[in-house]
Amino acid sequence: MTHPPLVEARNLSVEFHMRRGLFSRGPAPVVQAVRNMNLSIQRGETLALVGESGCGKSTLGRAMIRTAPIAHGELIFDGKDITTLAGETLRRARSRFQMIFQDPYSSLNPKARIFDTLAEPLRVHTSESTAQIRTKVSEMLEAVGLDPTFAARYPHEFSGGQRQRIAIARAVIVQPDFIVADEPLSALDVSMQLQILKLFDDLRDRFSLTYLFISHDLARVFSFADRVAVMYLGKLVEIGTAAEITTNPRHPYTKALLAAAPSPDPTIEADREVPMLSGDIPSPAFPPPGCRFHTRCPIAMEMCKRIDPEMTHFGNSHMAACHAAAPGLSHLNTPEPEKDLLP
Amino acid sequence: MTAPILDIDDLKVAFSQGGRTIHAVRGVSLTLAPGEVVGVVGESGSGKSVAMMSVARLLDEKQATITAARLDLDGHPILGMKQRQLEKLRGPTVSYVFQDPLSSLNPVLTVGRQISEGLRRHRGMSRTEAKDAAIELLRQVGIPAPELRVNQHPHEASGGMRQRMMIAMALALRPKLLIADEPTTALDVTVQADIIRLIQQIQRDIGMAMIWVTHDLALLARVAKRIVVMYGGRIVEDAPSSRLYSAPAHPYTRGLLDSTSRFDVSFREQTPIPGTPPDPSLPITACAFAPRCARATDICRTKIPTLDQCGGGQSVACFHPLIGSAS
Repeated sequence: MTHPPLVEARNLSVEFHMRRGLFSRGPAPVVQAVRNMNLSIQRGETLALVGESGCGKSTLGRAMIRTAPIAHGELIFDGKDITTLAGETLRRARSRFQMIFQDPYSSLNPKARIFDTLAEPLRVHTSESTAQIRTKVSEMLEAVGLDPTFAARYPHEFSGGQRQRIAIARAVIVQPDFIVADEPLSALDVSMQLQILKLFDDLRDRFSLTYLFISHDLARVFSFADRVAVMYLGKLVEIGTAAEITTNPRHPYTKALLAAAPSPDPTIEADREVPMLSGDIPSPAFPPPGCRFHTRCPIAMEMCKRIDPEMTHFGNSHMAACHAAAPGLSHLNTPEPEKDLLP
Repeated sequence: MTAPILDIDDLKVAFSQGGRTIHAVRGVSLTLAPGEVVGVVGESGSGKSVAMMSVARLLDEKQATITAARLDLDGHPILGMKQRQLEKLRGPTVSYVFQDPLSSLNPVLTVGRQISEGLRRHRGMSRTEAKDAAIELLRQVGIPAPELRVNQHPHEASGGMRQRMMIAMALALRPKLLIADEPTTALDVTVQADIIRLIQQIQRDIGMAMIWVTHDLALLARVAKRIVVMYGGRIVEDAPSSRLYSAPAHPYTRGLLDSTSRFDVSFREQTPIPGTPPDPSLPITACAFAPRCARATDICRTKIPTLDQCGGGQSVACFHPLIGSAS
């Protein structure tokens, strides 16, 4: 993989400033939703980004297409730094990256016909004639498995699965390079999820798309992704190929995610001991010190409470941030001199 | 055989909504023995939640019309009952846990107040007795520092903690039947496993009957010995889980199993169910699944199949089931 990545986050952080309480003193608290993220996606690659609610995966997804404020770090798209791009240049760049949302009920304008919903991005980003736009809308509806005559209808006439097809058509119609799909399956019924996943698969080949595919359901997306990145409380804890993550996970959180997913087979379920994580996910506004996972980690050591683990290589593409998993670092699990503590 | 805790025969529920009639439940029959654990699985619009809410008549009856040949809860006919009588059953006889604890918990009352309310009304406990009982319940559902939590309001707790509070509330009166409707769907996967294990453990301790309502067949493999599959407002299959996962009889059950996400199968090897679920506002005069079914023939498009035994304790509503003899 010597090609430069299509999208690259370098040390990227996203911060939100919370409103100060009416009677609280001092500065307003800052939530670091994404902290010092390094992540790159190759052209044509699908990277699944998994994690639980509040881990910052959606925020990172939005930051990767410049719709969430970047506090620190850089965002490189196709070799160009677009961290501070603004105004007309940003607007023009936007046709190259698109987003698909979870809820196809709220993401479509209920008052617009399907034709106008699909034609609008073409009117904004291209100078195509009305006839050209008509042809493209028809072709796009067919590409997502819908009848071209549906263009005359309104969103309320469609089921959830069909609406998600329309939302996908709207994103793909401008022929973007990069698509961030934020939980695009989780609002759909089980039988629809697989249909729509297969559609994403079909489109990525036909239109040479690169996906950042955000999901809480690792079992659903691992086989669809080339690589999987696991986030916990604003930080990456593990990244690797889908096979590395599912067959040889290094981080205890990844292991817990894999173990928690039930299997539709009572004979497997009967024998299986589900490793339990204690407690709930801490608030992202007040992440624990040291390793952010230590409060729920079944193998946490003394040093985990104080020292935030760095990403360590376990193979070419496989990295994890865990003191216990890191080779040759376990000797550090002794009381540390004061000067070694991170602030 | 002991008298069933729940006995439903030909339950139908219709909603009138802006001039249209939504046929949410189109004839459901289900019998549950005391202590039995059943999973009810179906997709949105299958009628699973509406059917189960009818058990304690929780639906808004200005809009919903409930009819049934029989709807008996612990031997009491529910349908003709007055609200006062119904309230005596809600809590000690039947209790619910829903997906979204925030919509079930009262935001202005403390957690302890909400849990102890039932204890005071049904058990005649004093205020302090009930509060002590509430603290003990919170401890049982795994809430740290229950003596502090008992004085807090629901918004002060995380999603997983709120769901635990709701479970404590639902179990306060040790109901004979607990209906849990997607109790873990709003929770994160690593929290889900914890809550499922908690509910299972309490179910065994109390020996109560239980219905898990969910869209997730994989979850039911972990918790239910018997599974009922709903589609288009009807039960299409009713089977022991030992049979359902290995030898499903209804093509829809097969399709759901094939669509379920799992780590041992790539999505490329999975076959989705084509098409979309039926529109509940349209009448159904044939098999509701026929438009999506590869096995459908003329009879499937003209007649409604009945739920019949097909051996091994398994029942199926299908003219061309995948196992057993066709009816």
